[in-house]
Amino acid sequence: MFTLKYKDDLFKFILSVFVLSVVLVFLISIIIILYYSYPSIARYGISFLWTKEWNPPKEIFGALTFIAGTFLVTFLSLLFAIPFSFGIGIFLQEYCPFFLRGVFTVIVEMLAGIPSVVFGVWGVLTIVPWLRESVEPFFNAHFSGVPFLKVEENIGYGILAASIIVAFMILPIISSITKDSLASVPKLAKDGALAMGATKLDVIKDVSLPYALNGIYGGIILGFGRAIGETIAVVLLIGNQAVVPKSLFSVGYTISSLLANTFTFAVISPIYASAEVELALLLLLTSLIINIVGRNILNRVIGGRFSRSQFGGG
Amino acid sequence: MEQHSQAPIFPSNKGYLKRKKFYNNVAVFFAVTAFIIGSFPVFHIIYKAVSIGYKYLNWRFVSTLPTGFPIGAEGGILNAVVGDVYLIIIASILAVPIGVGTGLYLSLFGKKRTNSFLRLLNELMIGIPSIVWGIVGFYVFSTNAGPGFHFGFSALAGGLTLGFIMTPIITLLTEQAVNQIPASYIEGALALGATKWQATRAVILKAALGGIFIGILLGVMNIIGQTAPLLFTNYYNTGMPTGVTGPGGAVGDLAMLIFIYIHEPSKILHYKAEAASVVLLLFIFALDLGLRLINYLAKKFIL
Amino acid sequence: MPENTKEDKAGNIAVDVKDLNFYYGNYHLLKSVNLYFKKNSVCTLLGPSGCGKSTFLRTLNRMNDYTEGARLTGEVLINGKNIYDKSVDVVELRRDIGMVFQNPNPFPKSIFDNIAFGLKIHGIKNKDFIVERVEKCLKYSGLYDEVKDKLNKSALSLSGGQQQRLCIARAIATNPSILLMDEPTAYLDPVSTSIILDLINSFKKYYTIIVVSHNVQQSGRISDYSGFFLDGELIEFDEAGNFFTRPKDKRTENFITSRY
Repeated sequence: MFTLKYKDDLFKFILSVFVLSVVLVFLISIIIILYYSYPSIARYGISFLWTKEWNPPKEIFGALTFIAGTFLVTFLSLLFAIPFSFGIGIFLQEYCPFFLRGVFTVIVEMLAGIPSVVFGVWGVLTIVPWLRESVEPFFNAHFSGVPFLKVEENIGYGILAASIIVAFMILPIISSITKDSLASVPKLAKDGALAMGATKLDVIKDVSLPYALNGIYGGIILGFGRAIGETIAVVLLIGNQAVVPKSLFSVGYTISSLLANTFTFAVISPIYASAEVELALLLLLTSLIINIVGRNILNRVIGGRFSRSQFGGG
Repeated sequence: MEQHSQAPIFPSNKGYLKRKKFYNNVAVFFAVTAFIIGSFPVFHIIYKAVSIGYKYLNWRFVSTLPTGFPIGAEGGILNAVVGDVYLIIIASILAVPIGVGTGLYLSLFGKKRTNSFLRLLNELMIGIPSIVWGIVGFYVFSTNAGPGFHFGFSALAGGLTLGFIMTPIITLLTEQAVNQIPASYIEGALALGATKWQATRAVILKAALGGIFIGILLGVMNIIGQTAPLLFTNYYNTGMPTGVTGPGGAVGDLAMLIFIYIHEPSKILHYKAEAASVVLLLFIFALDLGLRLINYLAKKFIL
Repeated sequence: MPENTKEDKAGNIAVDVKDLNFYYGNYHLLKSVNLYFKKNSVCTLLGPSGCGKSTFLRTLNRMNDYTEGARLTGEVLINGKNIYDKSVDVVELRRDIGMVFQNPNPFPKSIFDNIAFGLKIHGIKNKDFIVERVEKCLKYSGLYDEVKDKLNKSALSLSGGQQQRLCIARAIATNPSILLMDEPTAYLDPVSTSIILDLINSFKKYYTIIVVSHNVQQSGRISDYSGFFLDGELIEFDEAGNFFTRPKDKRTENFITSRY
């Protein structure tokens, strides 16, 4: 009996060590980011967030350009992704014939598995030429007077190209959560409406969506969290120029793409590095807040179940 | 009791029924279109990668090191394939025990409050952008200044950083797998006087093995596509590593190779980037297939 | 079986089921069911759980259309027309057949909107008419006095028994000719059960009511006709008087006397 008890305690002890190490990794990560961003926070204060001059040789750091770029790409990609995700979730859960549902779900999950860099390359070879040769000339000819649609340089790279690709990347996460939320609607409630002669559209509109809406919000929030930190595809597509984008077709820069391009050089100067780590801190804090909110909603609606599409590649 | 009205309340209204059906069909059209456009990249990415990279898709490509000028113009991608094996092994050595252990703790020992805290912690870790992990990894493992392990840009630094990303995925899927075991299985074992360790060995690990494997494969699938965390911890090596730390410790990596090649102003390297994409996708889809197979078998035979 | 005379066929039959077979995957769930329901009568269908009685009920308004792997042969004639005919519109069919489920399943909407739902989805826009109709249906189902001051409150705030009566009110809002009830009292307390049984009795003047139940006593209280299902077969169907006192089949007798 003594040895059994001893073994069990040992077992629990070992597991506890593992648990502790996870907590430790999390804490250390946050401490490191805070520690290395402190010099920049102390020196530039809150003006770091809303000034736009980023001049490493002069040690002047204002992050507005990158914050603006990040939020613009995130916002646009959500704008593109939400209606499509919504349609995909509804299609897979409500309209798709039973025998195709499995295959079609796999296709959406495959989309989630495609690495960021592969998406980026595809964007460079497909989306950029399309924008350059078809979309931008069209807008240039017809909408050149419209403020947000002006084509400044007809190169294909820019905010729009990055947003389209990021939209495709967050599509699986939002659509799979939409699907799961719709699936969690009690069958009895849907049957009640169907039995009264409701069409599927009536059922979706009047029964399923009121039930599933919270889950869908959760999915959108997680999609936001994914979009905001997306790096490699954006680096390849956004044009990487530190200007505040004035148009859909402008080039720009996001926090993550700046870090990817310059952090290795930045570490030579402590204050430059610190300013970049402060940008990482912004990403970290935003992602933490977003995920706390999103997960809370999802845990209530679909019971915190993890579907494949929630762990995308890269 | 009120008398029910017996008069029909709906005028014969075929037009309305038609309209109702029409709206429903519009919704179907919208949903199908969304699906077609949304799944278009899956096919087009594969098509594009294969049609551009096909001439390099042979055994020589994956079994020779890159040579020529610019480096990679001749030869293959062996450095990246070997590097990925290094990275997967190093990441797994860190992530599998910690992930499985934490997952088991969550489903076996944790109290309600600790559990929900730990689960949230893991969910948050999954949500942290990979570029941020790269910076954390740089300061913990790579940098030679300040506190840290001073591994330099190396397989060990890169692999362990990827391990950080992999751990919460394994944790959450392990917990999910154990929680899916019918409570009666575990309670049955515990009621016989088995300790939790015995129950784990005899019942839980067996019944949850499929789910745990799925977690590990998903973790590998995720890190194999990562580029951003490696930028500051491992970067890239065109040759074979001579160790796992310090100078010569860096390894090649498929995702990084694609990222670097596509930046080069050389058509050949672009073709090779696409060929490497095909290899990477093949690897990911093979893992995906294995995962579905395990899922299928686990459902059929274990539970 | 009640006599199947020409006269009955002429106009007294609400639902006529002919050689109905239902398959779920490879599983033969309903085996050659033949029966008919007379207009303005209450029929109860009894049987142990899993015998196919609920499935049978759902074939009468084609609710099995959305079940994966479901297949059906035979005919269900309502007003002389086979509802499985290609020309039949499911939406129109279901408008004329009300259905009440095992668990009360009000929509996550207000009490008023729950009852107005059927009218609205079938294209009635006249507000006054809808208000009047909602009020009437609440009165028919005896719920009006209890909820008249909180019509805009969520239907989910009602008690289980009230919710079920709300579902009945909802089902009759579109003025159907047939009312299908799938164990409507299965999850209710005795008082609510009793209220609903009384409602069913008073409703048969206006509707043809088909109730699925596994409770012999409750069925005895409301039935004009009764049938017994076992393993997907209709074992016996008869007037309630004969069915409950002099069942012809041994299996029916066993079921009735042992009071599952």
